[in-house]
Amino acid sequence: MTRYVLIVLYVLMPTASVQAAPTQVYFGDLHLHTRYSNDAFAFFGTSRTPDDAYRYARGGSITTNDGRTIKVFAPLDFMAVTEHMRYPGALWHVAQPDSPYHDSDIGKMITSADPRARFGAFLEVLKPARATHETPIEGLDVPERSESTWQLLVKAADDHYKPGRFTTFAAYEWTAEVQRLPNRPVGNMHRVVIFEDTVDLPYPFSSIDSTHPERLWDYLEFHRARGVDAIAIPHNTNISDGLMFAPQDSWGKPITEHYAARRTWNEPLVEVTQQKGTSETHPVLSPNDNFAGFELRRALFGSQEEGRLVGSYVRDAYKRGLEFEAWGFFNPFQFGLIGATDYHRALTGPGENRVSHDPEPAAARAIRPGSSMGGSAGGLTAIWATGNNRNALFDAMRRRETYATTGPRISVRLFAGWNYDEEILTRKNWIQEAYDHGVTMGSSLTRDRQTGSDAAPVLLITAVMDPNSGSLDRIQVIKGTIENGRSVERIYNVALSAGRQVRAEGAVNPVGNSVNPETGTWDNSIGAATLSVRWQDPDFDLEHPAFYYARVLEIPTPRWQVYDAIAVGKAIPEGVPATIQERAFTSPIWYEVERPRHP
Amino acid sequence: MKEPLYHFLFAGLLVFLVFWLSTDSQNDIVISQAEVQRMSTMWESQWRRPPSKDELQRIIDLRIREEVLAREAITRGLIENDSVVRRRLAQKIENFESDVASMAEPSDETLIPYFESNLDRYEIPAVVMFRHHYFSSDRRGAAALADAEREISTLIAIPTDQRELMGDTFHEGHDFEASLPRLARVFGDDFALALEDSITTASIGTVVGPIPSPYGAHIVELQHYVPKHLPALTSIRDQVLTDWRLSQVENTKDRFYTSIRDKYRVTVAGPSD
Repeated sequence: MTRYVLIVLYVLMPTASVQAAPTQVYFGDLHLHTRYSNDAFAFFGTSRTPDDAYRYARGGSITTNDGRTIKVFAPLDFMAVTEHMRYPGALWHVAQPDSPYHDSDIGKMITSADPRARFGAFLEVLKPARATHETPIEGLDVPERSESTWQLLVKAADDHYKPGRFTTFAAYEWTAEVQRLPNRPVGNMHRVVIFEDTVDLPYPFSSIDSTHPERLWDYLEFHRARGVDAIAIPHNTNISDGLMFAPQDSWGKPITEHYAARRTWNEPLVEVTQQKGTSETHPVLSPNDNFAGFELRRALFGSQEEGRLVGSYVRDAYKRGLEFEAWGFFNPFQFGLIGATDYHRALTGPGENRVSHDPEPAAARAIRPGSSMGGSAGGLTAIWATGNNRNALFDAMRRRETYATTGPRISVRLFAGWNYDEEILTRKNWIQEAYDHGVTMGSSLTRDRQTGSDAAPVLLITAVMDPNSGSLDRIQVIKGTIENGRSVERIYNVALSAGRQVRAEGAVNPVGNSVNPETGTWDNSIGAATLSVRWQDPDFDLEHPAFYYARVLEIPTPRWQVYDAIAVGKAIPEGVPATIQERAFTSPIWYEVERPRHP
Repeated sequence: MKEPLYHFLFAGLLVFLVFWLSTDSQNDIVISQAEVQRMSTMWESQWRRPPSKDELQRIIDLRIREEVLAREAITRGLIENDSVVRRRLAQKIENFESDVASMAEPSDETLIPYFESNLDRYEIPAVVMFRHHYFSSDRRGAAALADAEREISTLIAIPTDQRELMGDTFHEGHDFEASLPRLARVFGDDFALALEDSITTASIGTVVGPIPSPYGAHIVELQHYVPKHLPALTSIRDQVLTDWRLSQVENTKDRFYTSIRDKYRVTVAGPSD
């Protein structure tokens, strides 16, 4: 069976990559909540609808409660509203005066002026989903309401789908929380589920149905077999307490080749950055990475405790994936990267400068290092696709031709091949050549038998700054491989702005900091508008698997608290960084050692 | 007729007759074929398959039970002063009225004023067609702008049909036909604003610039410009119609309320002494 699945995968992968070369990158947000998510309504009183959310993302204006007319910073190319499907719409509904449950216990809690009572209402939503199998309180479990809410979400997605201009997806969030050990806080096992199309959709499989991701995959595979394709995208692995990339399945059994194949096919992507922190890596896991301590969220959900680091960050998962690959010839952690906002106020639009386009006025936003619902400004998904429509974007997500940004629209290309010549980047049609003679982000590269040489693969990387954000500091290649039986990571500064050179010991002068925290301005001339490089790994080892992904850093620009502080005429609090180096993380390219033939 | 049994039987017959005669259609519960079909469809929409025979029977039994209890509650006057029922009924009649409104087919006399008072929604953004000559700040540093300024006079001296690209290669190409918001994404907000300004002062066919961007400096040959404009109502009538209907729903609710409000004489008791 396992082999059968693998054969199917091998047959499908190449067909995905022989299409016309994508010439454009599309930016969007695949993770956003509106009033039908119970936490959004309980914590923020979010009353805007999926319809509002899509209209705003496309560039429509919205009037805020305090009377401002706001527009998204820059319209998005695609978006998905992703409600929590534990009793979708329940709390919003019971709070309405015409709800039959308005006078019930849950209705009284959610309409209370006391935030603790409203939090209590939200806890009622969590109870039945947390393995305890408690009976839901009256008014929560109303199947007709859940069904009609789902229909409404699908309809909003269809109403706003304008192929070629704006793409929407039917989608939802599978929100499972699991304790690694009794007495531990819960770890997030959350996934966003994205359907390719809206034909013949099933009702979502939620965390009430099961908290085991393998059960979610059963559901995805069942519907895929009848022609309805969907993928699941894990997020906030940083607060999974080490469970998201554990070496065991969700019942505690060691991962098998079959598990790896299912995981890779059902979950081709991971959301690496969003308002609740960035999950690339942690300073403890990557002590030699000067840029590792980026927008971390330390505490597990509903707790002050830090989760287990191993199993919570994607670079570490990629490395562990290589160890599986080296020992067992299968890799359970082969996924691409995306970013998202995960905003809970129905209005997308990441960016540090939220003053002009946030539904909440700056004065009302608490100026503090991080709140219980997030401390970062939120990210974006970038997709290289052949068109802005559901099929093209979904195909690109399947082949992992995606990357994550922490908000800005940095344009990044990454290719690897054996035969790219020295001059390739100077030629006009180099992108087509790069596709024809190599692979792009998200794909695997195996040794070219014909060349017979031991030379390292050639990487081509280009980056173009977002003209409305900071210029570029550098391009880095993050590599993982196996040395002496253990996975290791290396960071190479491969392209630097302002004529800087890598010194002999590998160190690089910092790009500098031009931010004026009084005015919220900076000077782009210290960085580069574009960077490009043809690079060959000096430490390449043909006998061991490896991954390479690009990390592109902007020069320092003001972090969001600076803009808020200016707007309200206050200073930012002590200990809060005034600047941020926004960045992009590409999906990796994997080098795979030729597998031995199974007998 | 002294036998108690006969008294009992007679009284029983009497009671039966009274009930039989007084039973009218109000106490009939008829579940029509259409109603069964509707329940079956509802069930199917939830479970993605038709109900089995037993399941269908169960739905019907539940429906009958609900009907019997509801009618008994009405008979016993429980409907009075029930806030939930009252709200539901009020909502129902409002929705019924607005449903009617949402199906209305208004004439152009009705649509045109609506269209004209919401013009900003239907405006088509301006589109600029131009070629730009790019001077890269990565390659030339601070000299990019000066280089462009020097080259602009050279360019103007060449007849339009003999000009070739000057300067450096731009990552998104050199010929554009795009809206200003789109150009703001490619060249930055400041460039788009400067370009818009230069269009109002320069005429089509002229060379403007250099306009700075975060990438360097750009000499722009303006080729064509379609200002922002309104489409004819006929070409977007469906969209306007949908928006008009949505706007009508709220209006209709208020109008309906006003129209029936006067049928009722309302007395609100003052504070009691």
